[in-house]
Amino acid sequence: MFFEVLQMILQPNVLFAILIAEFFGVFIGAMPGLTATMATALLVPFTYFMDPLTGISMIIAMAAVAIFAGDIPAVLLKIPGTPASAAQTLDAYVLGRTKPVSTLYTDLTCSVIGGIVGSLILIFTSPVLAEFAVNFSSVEYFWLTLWGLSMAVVISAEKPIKGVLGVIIGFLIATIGIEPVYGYVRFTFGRVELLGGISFIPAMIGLFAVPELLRQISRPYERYEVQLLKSKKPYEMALTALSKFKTTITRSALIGTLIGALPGAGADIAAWTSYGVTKRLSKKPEELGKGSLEGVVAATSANNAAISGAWIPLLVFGIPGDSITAIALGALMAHGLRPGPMLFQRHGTLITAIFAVFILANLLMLLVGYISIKLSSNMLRIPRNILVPLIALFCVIGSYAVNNSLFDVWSMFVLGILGYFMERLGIPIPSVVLAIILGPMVEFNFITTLMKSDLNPLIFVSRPISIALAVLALFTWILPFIRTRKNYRR
Amino acid sequence: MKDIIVGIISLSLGVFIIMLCRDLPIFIAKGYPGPSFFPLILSSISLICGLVLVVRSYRGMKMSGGNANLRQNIKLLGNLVKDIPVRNAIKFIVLMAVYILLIPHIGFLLTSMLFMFIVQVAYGVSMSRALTISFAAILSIYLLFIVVLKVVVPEPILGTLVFR
Repeated sequence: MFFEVLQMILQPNVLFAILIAEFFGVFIGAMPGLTATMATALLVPFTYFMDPLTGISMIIAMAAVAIFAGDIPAVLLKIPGTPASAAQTLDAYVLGRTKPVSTLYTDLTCSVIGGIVGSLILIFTSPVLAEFAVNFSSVEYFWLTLWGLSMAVVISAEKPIKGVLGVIIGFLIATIGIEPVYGYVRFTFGRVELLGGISFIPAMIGLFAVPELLRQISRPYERYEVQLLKSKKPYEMALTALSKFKTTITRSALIGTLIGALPGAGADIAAWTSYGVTKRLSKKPEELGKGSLEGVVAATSANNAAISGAWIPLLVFGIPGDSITAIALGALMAHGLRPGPMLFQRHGTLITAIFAVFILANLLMLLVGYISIKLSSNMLRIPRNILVPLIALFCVIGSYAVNNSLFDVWSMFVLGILGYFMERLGIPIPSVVLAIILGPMVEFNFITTLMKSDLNPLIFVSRPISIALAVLALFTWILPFIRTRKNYRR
Repeated sequence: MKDIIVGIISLSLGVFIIMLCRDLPIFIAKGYPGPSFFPLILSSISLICGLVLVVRSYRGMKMSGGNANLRQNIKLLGNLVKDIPVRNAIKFIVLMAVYILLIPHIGFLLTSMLFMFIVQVAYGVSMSRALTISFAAILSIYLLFIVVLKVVVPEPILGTLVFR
């Protein structure tokens, strides 16, 4: 098995695809405002034309590197490239003013370590969880998916009511087409193209990429001029970080993986949580935010670990851990890989190869990251008014490629405009996306459970696991409202 | 003001879902939840959220200056249309809509080149630079996606001549 897997991942086409994806990830991640999620949405349609391992490897590699690359403009310009880099921006920028290359190397090293720790946890916990999940029935899946939806509300904790609205919009989008239990046609307005529902990948491209394009093109153009000051010993800071803050790095990677594994909570929340915990436990908490190496190390280890962590619920339960894995779910399905506990039994070798790719992609990130640091000043100079129409072309070609249908291109465009205005009104897009995925699962499991029990509602709390999941889901629903009420009273 | 707009949207969405569900049964056969059961739950939640947002925003506005504040907010909303970022976004939306509309008529490659060129010029790139970049970009897309990856792109109604 070991040699078989090694042979699979060391094929030239897989290695080449990983490298291409990593460079693409660096480019998108380093451009302020363009996110790893958008890059995934753009990449996924092209992975359909590859074998499953190559396609999935590209997504894994691209996401990992894009999260690291988001730190490049944070260090050089004080602008996080992706939301996941926001937590360490202040510290990284202050450190980077005098030693930009050293700070970036430290960032890269911690990202790789975070990514590897997250991958190892993914590799060792997923099969165990999958064995446990084999016993899940529609009751447990109902509560689990409902909990996933609840998390979609929690991630918008500032205004949970808008998170709820996002869930409703996503759920409504998912109800379009043939209803899964009885086969009724819903909300198609007589359009044959809508019978199969709104295509998932064009919807993701629309919701994640188009709002970003509109945001980029709408703001005044700024030209970023960056000069990388050369350091005499560029690796010294990274070595200091490794020896001085090994506990922080390990703790942050563990926090990152755990947060990443929660449905809906992505790398940005992982980075902020880890940064917060480090500030609380640090011997010099007053230094965080003023150029603290510990702050950089904490956030950057956590955000990369979260990327691997998010694959745990996706592979084991079919519930994505973040927006990136939400899109990756579409890619897995397109390759005939239905996430869930049976995936480990049916495609054991492929899953092991995918696990190995996590490690390989993180190791290759050292090389790609090194090159990208060298090229960073040139990358940041690419003007937005050239980049935006180019990405728009990718949106169109990607949406069309899924089903060779212009209707999908229009779906992408309309949902993109909807996404732009939703963002402006404070309705979180990740909530919409999670509801598009989990909504039909909630509905299907709810109705089939009731049918199986002949309308006995007590079946929902008939097993210990279902009771535990029910309590978890209900608590998650109520928590943000209690928090808001408290704040409102204050 | 944002909250009141979201509230109104939420209320409208709730009503819209109810209208969509008119022809679908809520329960079927032995009383099992039907195809409009879940959409109607969504509609109820949407109506409740909308009501909460509108009432809360109205109370907030009343506390911070009442009608004068409301008038000021409406004026601000009117100014939003004249806002440069919003106008830039609308300009891009229109250009992209025209681009997608033209794809089936003149094919993906030619339309894409025109789109790239026009967007660049509209947002301040010089004509010669825009033309060079558009041509280079389309050539790269052609080689990478159509020749290497064999991605199918929309062809013009009149058939393939020079461009697809």
